[in-house]
Amino acid sequence: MSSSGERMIALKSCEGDVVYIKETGAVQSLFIRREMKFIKADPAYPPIDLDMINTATLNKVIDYCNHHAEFANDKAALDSFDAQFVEFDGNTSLFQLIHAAHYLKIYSLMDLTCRTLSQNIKGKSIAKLRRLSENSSDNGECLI
Amino acid sequence: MALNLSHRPVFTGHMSDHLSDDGRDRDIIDLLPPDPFMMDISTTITAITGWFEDLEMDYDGYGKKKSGAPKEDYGLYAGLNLILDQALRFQSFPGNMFDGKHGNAIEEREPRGALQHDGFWLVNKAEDNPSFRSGSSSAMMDACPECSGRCSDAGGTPHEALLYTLSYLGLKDLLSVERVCSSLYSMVRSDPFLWRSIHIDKPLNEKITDEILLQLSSRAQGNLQCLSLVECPRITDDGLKRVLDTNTRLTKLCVPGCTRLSIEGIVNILKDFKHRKGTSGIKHLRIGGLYGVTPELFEELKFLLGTDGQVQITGQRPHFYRRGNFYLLCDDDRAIDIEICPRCQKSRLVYDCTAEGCQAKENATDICRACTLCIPRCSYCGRCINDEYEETFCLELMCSDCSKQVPVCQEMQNRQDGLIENVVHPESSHNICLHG
Repeated sequence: MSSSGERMIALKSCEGDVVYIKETGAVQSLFIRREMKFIKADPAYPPIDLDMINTATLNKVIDYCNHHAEFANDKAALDSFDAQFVEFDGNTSLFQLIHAAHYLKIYSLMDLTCRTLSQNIKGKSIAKLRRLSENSSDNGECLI
Repeated sequence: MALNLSHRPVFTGHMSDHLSDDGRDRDIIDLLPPDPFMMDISTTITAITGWFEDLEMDYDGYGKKKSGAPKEDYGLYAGLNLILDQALRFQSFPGNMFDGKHGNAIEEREPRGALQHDGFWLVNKAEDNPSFRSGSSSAMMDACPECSGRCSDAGGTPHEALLYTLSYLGLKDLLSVERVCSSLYSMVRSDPFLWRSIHIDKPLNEKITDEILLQLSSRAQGNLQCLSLVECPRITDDGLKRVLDTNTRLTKLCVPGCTRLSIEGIVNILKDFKHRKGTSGIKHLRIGGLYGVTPELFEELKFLLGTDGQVQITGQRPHFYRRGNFYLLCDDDRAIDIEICPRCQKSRLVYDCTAEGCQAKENATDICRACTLCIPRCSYCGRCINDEYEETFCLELMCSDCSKQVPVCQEMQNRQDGLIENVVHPESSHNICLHG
């Protein structure tokens, strides 16, 4: 439980790290929402295993969900947050974020990240796209 | 490789050299060296010309059977690539854009500069046909020499994330992505939902033909719902009919500015389409820019769209006359874009006025709302022009206020930039208009 009394949901990344997300943020994920009844029924419910998502990406997702839950009615604040959110510092990748959003079924995050990736792809010639895909690693930094 | 000019001097400066043995003037073509780069150019150009004709038939380059070209053809195309790459290697383009790697030449040079030399018209064609860089269109599928090995080295097939992003891409970008490697090709081709809505705009509008359109529409596997062709001069009535014959779920048809289409042809197409089994008929039609809409044809179109008994909706969105917004497209809810002009009573595109004074008018006779022949408008701001105006190089009108703010050279640059601008429409995924 957080200091404000709000329930915190435990998530476990593929690296074994356990991170926590507020319940209000967690319900934005349809995947977690389906687990919610089991979590509420069992106080000792283990962390939800997300073996497809690494810790850095998971922290980013939690940040997004918590912020969107907190400022759900303030569109301007959300828009400015979203614009900054998709500026990556290189540790997390756009591809992994899209994958995480899809896995967790957070459709607003999927829409934001897919639009960002499409903007990065738009207008590039085939040779550039190929060069970028040659340089891609699992992180998928290539198309940024 | 130096230019092979040793056989004939190009310019001699002597009159006698310009005359043949029988005293007639020699044509300048006769004075030019036949093969300055020793490329065996006549054979090369013949082969490449034929290949481009094939590419023109298969717009996306993959219209032929997937088994690909025979291996001997692939070798020819690979060889042609090599020839042109080596030719490029020894040419410096304006601004020295060429860095010597054949992978960079085509997409990094100035396209206009590449037209200057006869030997490089092909290079500029390659700018228009991105698949050229990969050699034979169908051969690319068999062996993706550029990236097949590298893709697998980088972690196998492209990330699933790209699959989710495809629905956000326009037509031109989709066609580029599918050429990157074989796995992306499969991704793009295997999803008919990506092709449910097809929008062709600049710069691809000039290139699309009936056959290419048919191939693109066939990718939807019968699920095409919205077809938008903006100023596509090569699309004919027959080509459009073939598309509708194979896509019975089409409900939105936008063909503004497609000058080879006739109103009678469209009426006949809609009649056939409506009476076909399994179709609900076209519900939204856009034919702005097509002339010859008589009152009878207009009524018939409204009947075919199912709106003949309906009163014009007064709350519909205003349509302003602006560059990039001349036509109404699929995102508007109206059944048909043209209407009876309040002034001339002809069936045309009618525009509202952006001027504040005009918007305040309530008297029906004073409302500033008519076709552009009745009320000329500024192509920049959309206001009606009553006083001084300037006719731009593109034969559009510009009001005095806009002409002061937009210099002529900037207007020219904007016009050139507009040629490569994609129109973006805010539609949700899986029903998005693909722009190209």
